[in-house]
Amino acid sequence: MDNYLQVENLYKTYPGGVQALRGISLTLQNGMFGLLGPNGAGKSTLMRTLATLQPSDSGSIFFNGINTLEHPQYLRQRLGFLPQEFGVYPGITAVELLDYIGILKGLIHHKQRRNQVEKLLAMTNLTAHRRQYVHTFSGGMLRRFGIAQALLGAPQIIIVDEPTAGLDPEERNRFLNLLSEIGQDRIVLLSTHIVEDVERLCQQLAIVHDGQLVAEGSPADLIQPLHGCLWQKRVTPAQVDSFVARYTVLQVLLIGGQPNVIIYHPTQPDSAFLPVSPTLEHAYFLTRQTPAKV
Amino acid sequence: MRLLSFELRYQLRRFSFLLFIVGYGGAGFALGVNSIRGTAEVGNAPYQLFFHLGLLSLTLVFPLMFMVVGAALRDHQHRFTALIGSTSVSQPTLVLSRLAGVWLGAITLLGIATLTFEMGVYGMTTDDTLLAGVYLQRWLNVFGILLLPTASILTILLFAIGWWTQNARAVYLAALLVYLLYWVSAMYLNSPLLANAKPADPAMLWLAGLLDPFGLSAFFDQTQFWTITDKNTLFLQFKGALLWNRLGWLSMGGMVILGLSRLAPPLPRHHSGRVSSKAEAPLPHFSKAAYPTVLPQISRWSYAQMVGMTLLRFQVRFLFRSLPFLLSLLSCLIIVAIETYSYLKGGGSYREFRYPGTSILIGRMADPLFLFGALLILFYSAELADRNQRVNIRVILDATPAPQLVQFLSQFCTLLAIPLTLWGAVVGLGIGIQRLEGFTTFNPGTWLAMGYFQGSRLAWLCLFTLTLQWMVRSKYLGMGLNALLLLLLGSSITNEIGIHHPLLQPGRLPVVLPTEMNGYARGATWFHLLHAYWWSFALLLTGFIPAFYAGSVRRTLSWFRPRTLWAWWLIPGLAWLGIGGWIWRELQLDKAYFKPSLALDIREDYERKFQQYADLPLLSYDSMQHQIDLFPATAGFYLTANYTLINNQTEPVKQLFVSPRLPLDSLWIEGARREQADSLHQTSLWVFNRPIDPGEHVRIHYRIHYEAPVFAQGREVVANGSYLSNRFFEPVFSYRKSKEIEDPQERQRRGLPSRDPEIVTEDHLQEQSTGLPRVYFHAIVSTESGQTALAPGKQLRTWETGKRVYFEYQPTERILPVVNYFSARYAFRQRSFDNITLEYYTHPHHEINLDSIDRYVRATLEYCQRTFSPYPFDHLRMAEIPSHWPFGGQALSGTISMVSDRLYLSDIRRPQQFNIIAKRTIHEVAHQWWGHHLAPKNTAGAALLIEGLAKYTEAMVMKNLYGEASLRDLTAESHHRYFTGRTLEQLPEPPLYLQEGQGYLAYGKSLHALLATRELLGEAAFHQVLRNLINRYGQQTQPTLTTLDFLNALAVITPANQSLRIQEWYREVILHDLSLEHLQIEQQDNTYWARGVIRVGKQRLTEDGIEQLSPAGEWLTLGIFRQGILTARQRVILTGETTPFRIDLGPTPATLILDPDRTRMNQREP
Repeated sequence: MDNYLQVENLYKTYPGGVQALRGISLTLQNGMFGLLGPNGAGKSTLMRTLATLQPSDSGSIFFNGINTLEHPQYLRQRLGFLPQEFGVYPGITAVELLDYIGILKGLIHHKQRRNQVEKLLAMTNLTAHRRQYVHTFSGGMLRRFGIAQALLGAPQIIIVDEPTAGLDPEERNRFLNLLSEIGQDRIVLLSTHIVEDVERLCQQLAIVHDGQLVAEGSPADLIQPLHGCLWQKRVTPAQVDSFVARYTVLQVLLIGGQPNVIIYHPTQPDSAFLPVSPTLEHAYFLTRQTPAKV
Repeated sequence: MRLLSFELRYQLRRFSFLLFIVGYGGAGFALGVNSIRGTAEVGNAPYQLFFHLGLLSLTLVFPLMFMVVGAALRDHQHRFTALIGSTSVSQPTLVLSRLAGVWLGAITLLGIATLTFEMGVYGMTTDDTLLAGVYLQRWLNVFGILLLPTASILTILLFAIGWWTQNARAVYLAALLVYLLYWVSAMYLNSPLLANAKPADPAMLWLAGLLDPFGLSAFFDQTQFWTITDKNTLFLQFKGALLWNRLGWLSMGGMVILGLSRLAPPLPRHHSGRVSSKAEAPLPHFSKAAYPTVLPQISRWSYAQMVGMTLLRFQVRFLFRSLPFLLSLLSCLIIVAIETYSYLKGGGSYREFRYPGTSILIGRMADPLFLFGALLILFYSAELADRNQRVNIRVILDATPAPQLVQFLSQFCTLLAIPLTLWGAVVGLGIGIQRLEGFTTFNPGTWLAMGYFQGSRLAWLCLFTLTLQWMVRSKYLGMGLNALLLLLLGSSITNEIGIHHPLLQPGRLPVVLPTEMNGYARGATWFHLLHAYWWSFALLLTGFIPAFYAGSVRRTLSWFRPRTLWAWWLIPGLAWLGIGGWIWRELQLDKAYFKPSLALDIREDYERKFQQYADLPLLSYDSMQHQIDLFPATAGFYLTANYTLINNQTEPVKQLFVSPRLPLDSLWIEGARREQADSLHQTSLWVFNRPIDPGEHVRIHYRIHYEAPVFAQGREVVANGSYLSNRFFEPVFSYRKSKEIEDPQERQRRGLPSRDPEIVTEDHLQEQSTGLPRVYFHAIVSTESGQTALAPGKQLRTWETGKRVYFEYQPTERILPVVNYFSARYAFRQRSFDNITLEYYTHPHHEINLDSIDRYVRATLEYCQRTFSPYPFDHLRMAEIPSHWPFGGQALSGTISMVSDRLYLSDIRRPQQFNIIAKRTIHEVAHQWWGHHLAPKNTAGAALLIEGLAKYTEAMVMKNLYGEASLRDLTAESHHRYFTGRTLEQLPEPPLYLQEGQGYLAYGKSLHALLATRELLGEAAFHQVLRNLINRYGQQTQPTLTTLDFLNALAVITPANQSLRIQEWYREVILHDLSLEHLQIEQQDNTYWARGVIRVGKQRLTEDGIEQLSPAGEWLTLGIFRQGILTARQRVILTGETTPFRIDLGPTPATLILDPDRTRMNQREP
């Protein structure tokens, strides 16, 4: 089934006066969609609003043509949501809690629900811990439990906020593969700080900064303009500040204790600068520069 | 110091602390205002400071809980542990600074309360005699002994638990246990806060005084016999139980601090829970096919049902696994069991036993049930509403389509499990007690009704508190708001803050308790109505949740659909307005509800209008005829009354002022016309066409149609067990001084003349009688078929018409004009004794003690006829009345009423216990002589001749039946009653012969004086005096007997050298301090001798103060007891403050008791 999520001009200001969203517009379709942005950019606000956990001040959200701000239940019965941080009831086993959340999600047939719960426990490698209290889980196990609960039901849109935080590299790869596979016929909105994951997995992405959308497109679309515009040079520590003042510096990496400056410049500034092959990370850093400097 | 300064700033800046400052400031002021009562008690005397601020200190655990959680748990709660741990602050410094911050916060609150208390006192009065003045010693006394130690102890305990456990619930639980300790102590101590009447066991007193962490038990222990003068002048002494209590708890606190600073974990432990130790399995390969999706189905009803049941199951599981709930349940059961058993097994004034009747048990269970239920509901409504937020799972659950309404309902149903569980538990306990005690009457209906009458108030609380929690969505704010609202609007404090209308006091439903005879019938309608009113209000309130709820999209949108809101608000809204309007109208129509200020206005108006008639010459009753139709089902009656009044004065009566108690349908006075009528007071002034000369009669006729107001919890006419006095309905044919405002300050505020307390002198006894002459009486009383109606007098005939049954009564002689009508479904037994018909009317299930009662009736009749005079009637009728009457029994002419649980359900199966049935039966039968046959003039001192002589007869018959031991039981109680009762006396204690209804004299000291007189004169001579009085004053139409006549009769036969004793016992107030010193037992020639010294202190209390007297010349008796039985007496003439003695004990050692009959009021003994 083809799903699409259309966000139009979304605004959200918190009671303290913080403008968390300032006219965000997005369109998402089946597949993985990455959401990048620094801390405080408004990613979590956007995800909470999309997940119908809080209302927006203005704007609209349509999922498969239905206004979810007016009909949140439509989205909720099709939603899998994994927040960045969550807790669990003490004294409840993994099976019991998944069963509980499954019922709240509308899985009213006992056998089907139990079958899915067992499968999800297996998928998230928690079968051996199925009778263990969830509040005693380690950080990684709890994250996997969170993934399992997000997949309960038949979600057509899955919103995951930093899903791989706390997972070891092997689990992280496996989970991203899983998301990628199941994301083929549903929307998966992935919010993360790991640009590499987005680049590897997401067909589309958006970069949010200060409550606004500063870039949107496929990783390739965002990387493409950078070809031939990225240069690097080894400098002394004393030179860094002058480079920052003169160029659009995307990164300053210490290599062997010596700064290596990567700049954005349409042409090679001088022969000492060597060309750099662009990545999504460079595109992400570029969005954080002031337009004047870019 | 910097840490401490930071800590104090942290505590003081918290919002909750500001709320507590306001609360304590307000409470202190209110208590200060409240401490000014009457004209004798100094409002801010040390005692009052101790009492009121001590009460306030009971609430200190609430702010301490908040402060301790903030101080001891905040690192853990806010994930600050690692940062604090990485600093160089030492363990003792950190602990002590946090602890000191909390302690200073607590002291600040108490200091503010003390300050506002003084402001309240000074704001209330400017009368210097009611003010203690500003001097430091008072505050040092209360702070040094009470407040500082209490604050320190509680702070240390709660902080230590918080620091060690890093668990907020453990702190709450500890606070609960501290309270439990106090309640248990208070229960054993007979704390005034618990309003228990039983005398406390000294050993238990001491233990309770030591255990109570608030020190209040020890305070009450030290001050329990303080008179008003003592309370105004004395300081609390740091000695006895108070000293050991404070020292003990503070020492323990010191050790806890030491342990905390030395042994506690170096930093608050991070409570991370158990971590899985199981090895991870190899990661399986994931394939998309392994992810089976299941389509949610949320549009079906079964979904909502399943969600509701699932939430309910999880929440109930949470509740039943929760430690605070289980411990509270256990505490409730323990307290109910202790309370019930202590009441059943020796709970009354005489430590008598009772059968566990269902109503008796419910009466003991209702308060703890509500108290624990309310606290648990308050706590768990916050816990449930906040739980998802607290464990941070809400972010997942709110993204599910689970309906919010279902979540709310499931939480409500979970909360309902609290009252249901408590109710089930106490019912189980009650039935268990009944089985254990062999009480076979099982009342499932009453137990079920308890669920409604006691449980539904808690159920309402579930809905109300949960709704508020959902609106506020801040756990602590919601909990505080709920507690504050319920305290201010739903408790007795509500009246204190000026809210009196029942429609403005949410959840303050009338407490309806059952009686064995009448079940739950009394006050039930009013309960149903107010219940419906407040339920509809709470339901309406739930409709406003969305308006306050800053929640998800669904809540802010879908709940606000006008269509939904209309449906939500309309039904409960209409019900609330409709029921409220109807109640308001009823209250207005019946004028039964007045604001206190309005009621005072009416009293003032009455006095201003009618005081002019206070000195009108009065007419006396000569005959009374009633035709009364009782309607138990509707709690009403019709009355037609015909009276004949007579002018017993020496001057003609020209006017008659009539002041009805109930509205009269009609009133006719022969030969008189109504000159004035007042519609507000229903009074009227009648002027005789011709003055009524002395000795002339006047006929009066009136009718009353009475229907109990729906809100009345009337005791008089009830479904089964009516007991209606003519004092309830009869108009008063004179100005009623009792309607005047009594409070001197209120009178002063309204510009009314001051009513100085009247000092009674002998002159009052000589005044012309204004009392109650004997009357001819005749009554026809009807009631519902199946019930029996009773009245004083011989039953002439009965007949039945339709569904009503009629009874005609008429005494053969004149009787005192105090009559009552009974009606109930009675079982009847008739016996006879010495040509006297004995009639017993009881509830059908309460015949268990009837044979015993019959035996004591006979014993009393036999004793009194033999000792005093023949019984004055040809019948003696005894009938049961419901337990809602607050007395043991009442003697009318030839007819006695006895209250269910104080006689018929008394358990006297154990031979060693005090026989309360004998005591009560004898007392009321004795009143047929003392009060009826021999009626004194209605003036000061009369109680000595009515209650005093009845108590004396009771003592004599008990002694004859059960020996000297029972006499000592009786005197122990009356002795205790005297010393506790006089502590409440606002005026100087009068001597016995001028007493005016003081219970501590009538039922206390009188018996001791009469026993002393008997010992002084000899029993035969004393009884001859009593016989002479009966012969001379018995059956007088117009009673003239006074205590002067009694004392004169005694004087005739008292030896001259002992006449001073009579003077001291009856005409003065004398206290003794008796003790035995240097007691030695010697054996000489197979005879044991006791040698020792009697030390006697003697004080005379006068208006000018205390005068020390020498006891020289006075005698005292030493009683020689063997195995608890008095075997011999020896009289010792006192030679001064100390008197050596040597007495022969006989061939075996014995127990020696000074003054075994308690003929002196010994201050040492209570």
